[in-house]
Amino acid sequence: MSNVRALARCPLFAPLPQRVLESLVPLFERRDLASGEVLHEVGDPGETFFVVHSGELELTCPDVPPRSLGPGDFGGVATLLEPGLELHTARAAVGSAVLTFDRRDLQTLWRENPSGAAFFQLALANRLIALLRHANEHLVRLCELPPPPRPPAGGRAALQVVDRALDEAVEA
Amino acid sequence: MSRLPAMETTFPLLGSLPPARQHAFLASLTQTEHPDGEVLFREGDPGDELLLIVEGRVRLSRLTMAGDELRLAELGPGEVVGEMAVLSPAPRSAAATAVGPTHLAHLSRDVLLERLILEDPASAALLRSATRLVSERLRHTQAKAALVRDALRGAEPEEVDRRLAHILGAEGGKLTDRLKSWLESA
Repeated sequence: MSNVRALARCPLFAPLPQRVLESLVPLFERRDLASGEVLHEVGDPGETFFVVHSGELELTCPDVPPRSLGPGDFGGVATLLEPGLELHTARAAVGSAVLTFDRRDLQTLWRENPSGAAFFQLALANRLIALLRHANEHLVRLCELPPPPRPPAGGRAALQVVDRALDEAVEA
Repeated sequence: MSRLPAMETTFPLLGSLPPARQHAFLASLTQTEHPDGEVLFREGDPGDELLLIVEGRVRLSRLTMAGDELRLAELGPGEVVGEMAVLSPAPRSAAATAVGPTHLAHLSRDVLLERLILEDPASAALLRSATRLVSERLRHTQAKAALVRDALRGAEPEEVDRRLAHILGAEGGKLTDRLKSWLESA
């Protein structure tokens, strides 16, 4: 599959005009990963955004069930925008390829192709906003716990829902 | 209306643009004047534009489950309302009301997109600052969610209020409203 098609499968880039997509592709670097190879580990400096080109990556972090990423899935939006540490370990579950783009590339893009950079930045912002709205919706559930006196069984079930929701909000 | 803003007002959301260029950008936007108490928009209204406060103040509020007004913030000159709406339209999550005579500049999503295509530096600066703001807010929200999650993990139902009250600090007001206010505060 071409890199343009691989990026077009990513929901972040799917809405972008074809010419913008084509202008972004040369800035992505393809990296092949053998089964079991690690792309990054929890606590590594986070600088790289990636899109899965082919294969499957497993994302793990302490106390949270692992997640699987397939072609078109992506990670690293927040670390692309500001320095931070990786929150997950990303490991190839099978032989895989990813397209990577780091923070320096974004700065280069703003200098050399401002309208392309603007579309890219807007896509990143939309992703963050979706995550923020999602987190806020989950937090609202906490505020809607049944008022006391809570029946123990119902209260416990409500708490389990909130606990899962907060997990999702934190890991979004 | 195209009255220019007071020269001392600058907008952090326009990044490092010099004041003269900020003012040229503002002057190119639609501007409106509002008397004290005028409702600018209500919670749930469609939102797809950014309001830049040139003069006056804007109060953001939300109705509680009991139907009372919960004041979230009061913003002044140089601050903005709707930085998420202009990037990603959605129903307004709070109401906005003018506090005193208020002068606003409006930037709609369509105008922002047109200007980004034309590689307008002020629009690019605004986009980058707004993205950074959203990113910071996301981290902040996730940190609070983690704090609450960790505090409540393993709690029995009858312990919930005590544990939440411990996080929220001082007494007073309905617990769920205090919790909402805390979650929404910076």
